[in-house]
Amino acid sequence: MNLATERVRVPWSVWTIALLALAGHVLLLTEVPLGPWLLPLSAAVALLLGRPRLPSFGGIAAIAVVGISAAAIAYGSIATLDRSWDGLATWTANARWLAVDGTLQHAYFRDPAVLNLGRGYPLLQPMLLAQGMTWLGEHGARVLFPALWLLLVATLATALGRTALSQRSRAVAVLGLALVPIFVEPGRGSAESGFADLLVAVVLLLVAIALTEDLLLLALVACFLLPLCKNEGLVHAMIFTGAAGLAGRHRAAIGFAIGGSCGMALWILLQRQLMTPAPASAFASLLPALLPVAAAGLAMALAAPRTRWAAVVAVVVIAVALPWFDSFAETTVGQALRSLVRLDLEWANVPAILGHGLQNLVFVRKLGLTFVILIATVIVVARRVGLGPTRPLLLAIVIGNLAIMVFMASRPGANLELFLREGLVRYTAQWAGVCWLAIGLLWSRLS
Amino acid sequence: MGSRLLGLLIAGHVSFGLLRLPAGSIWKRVDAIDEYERQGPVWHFRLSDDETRRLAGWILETLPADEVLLFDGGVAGQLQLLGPLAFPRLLVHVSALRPDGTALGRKVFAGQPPWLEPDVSGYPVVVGTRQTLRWERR
Repeated sequence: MNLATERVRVPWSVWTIALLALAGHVLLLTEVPLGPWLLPLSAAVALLLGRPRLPSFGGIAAIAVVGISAAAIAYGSIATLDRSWDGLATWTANARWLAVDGTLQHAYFRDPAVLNLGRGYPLLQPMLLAQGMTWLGEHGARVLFPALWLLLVATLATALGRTALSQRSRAVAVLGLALVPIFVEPGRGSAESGFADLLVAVVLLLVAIALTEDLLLLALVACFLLPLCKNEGLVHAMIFTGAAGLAGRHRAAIGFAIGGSCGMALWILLQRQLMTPAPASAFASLLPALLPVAAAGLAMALAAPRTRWAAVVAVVVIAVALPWFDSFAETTVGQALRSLVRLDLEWANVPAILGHGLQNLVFVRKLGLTFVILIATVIVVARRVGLGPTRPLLLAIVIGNLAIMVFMASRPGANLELFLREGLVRYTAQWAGVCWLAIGLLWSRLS
Repeated sequence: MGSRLLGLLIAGHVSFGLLRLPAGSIWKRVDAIDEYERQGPVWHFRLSDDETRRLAGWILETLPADEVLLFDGGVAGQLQLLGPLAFPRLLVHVSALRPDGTALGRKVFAGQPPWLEPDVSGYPVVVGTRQTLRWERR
């Protein structure tokens, strides 16, 4: 498949978000205000790249459930401003201040004496919300949240529509994702909570589709967005890049590497601009941006017998050497990577983290039986016809969920209790769309 | 056997979600919104004590748009709610107070809650902990 035909695999809404993200970050870096023209211009340019299409959810029942859930989420989103603290205190707070004059020049962003709990949070969701606020007001802008939820479900429906899955099975998979409680019901992590986990879930699903279909353009666009959604986006980017490289899906691996590195570089440059005092070494602080490229190169080298041992040596050298640059650990992810390499983990917390992690897989009230169904499907399909081309995706899911736990093991004990109680399930929920994609793809192998 | 179990799991997941749709997705949401609209922004402090709610409500009603409020204490707690709710007003750390009574080039709020003793000495500082907000003058 060439780039021209791949272009249509990127939804128009995703092109819009990516163009807005690219232009918005460049404008903020150059201290040019984000005007109200940014969103409509991005949407108009996106029309040159892709057309909006109505997805097929697979049947009346799926349409009805999606419609009712979307209406409920829309009501919950727009009726009031944030009712969850993280959305209120960080993501939406950043959006409201960004909407004041479209720049980051305000004391809220620049002065460390100002109470700002969202310092260090990526700015893609605030940018999207701020643009919405400019046109629709603070309440109207929150239509972003039901729109993202619809995009999540529609993206799954469209991707599964390209497989051998029957319409009925596709409808069941769509229902499965649409009924995952954490997004649909109010509360922390819900679609309307203002947390960026839903945005990450959407982008992760796009990344997963790029991996399974080996699409360079979708991989590039989606992985570009990942680090701009949440800080753990870099880890997600590296996981998928590695999985693509190991599986020989070179188009996807290259797309992930370029997109992830570009996104990360933009975000690091913006973070540096906001830090007081400014970090001394530009090179070292930009090193994390090279990680997706390194992951792609090393994974492809590992997959080839002739270069395997050289790749192993390179991984060890890079992993040991890189984190010793102090500036590398300016970001939260850099700190976690450094702790991992130095084995500087809170080992006493590991059992509790693993226990909660396993418990999450059957946290029915939040995730339904998503992970249980995935595991059962893997067992059934593996026995009957083998896992085949779904292996890289399944590997990414396993490593992605393990990475959450490793990250937590690198954090000081004071944060752990709160994270285990409230945060871990949200990080797991980011993979809900990817899991239902994997389930659908596995079912299609039985068709 | 495996397919049957898988079918049961899928049916269970979908049924659970459908059964929860009215109560979990609709009514729970309606109830939360009703409660929020009844209480206003102070709803966010519903798990704190009465003094915190009273103080937060008074600050949000009284703090002028062109003044800043000094804060101290742990930001991981009630200040996480007060700060964003005060938008577009700013909460500024007490260390930023200048001798001329300004911080960040803006006048520092000098009001006093009516239920506390009138005290014109020093500048008011809202002190946050995980569970409470308290008013001090320094």
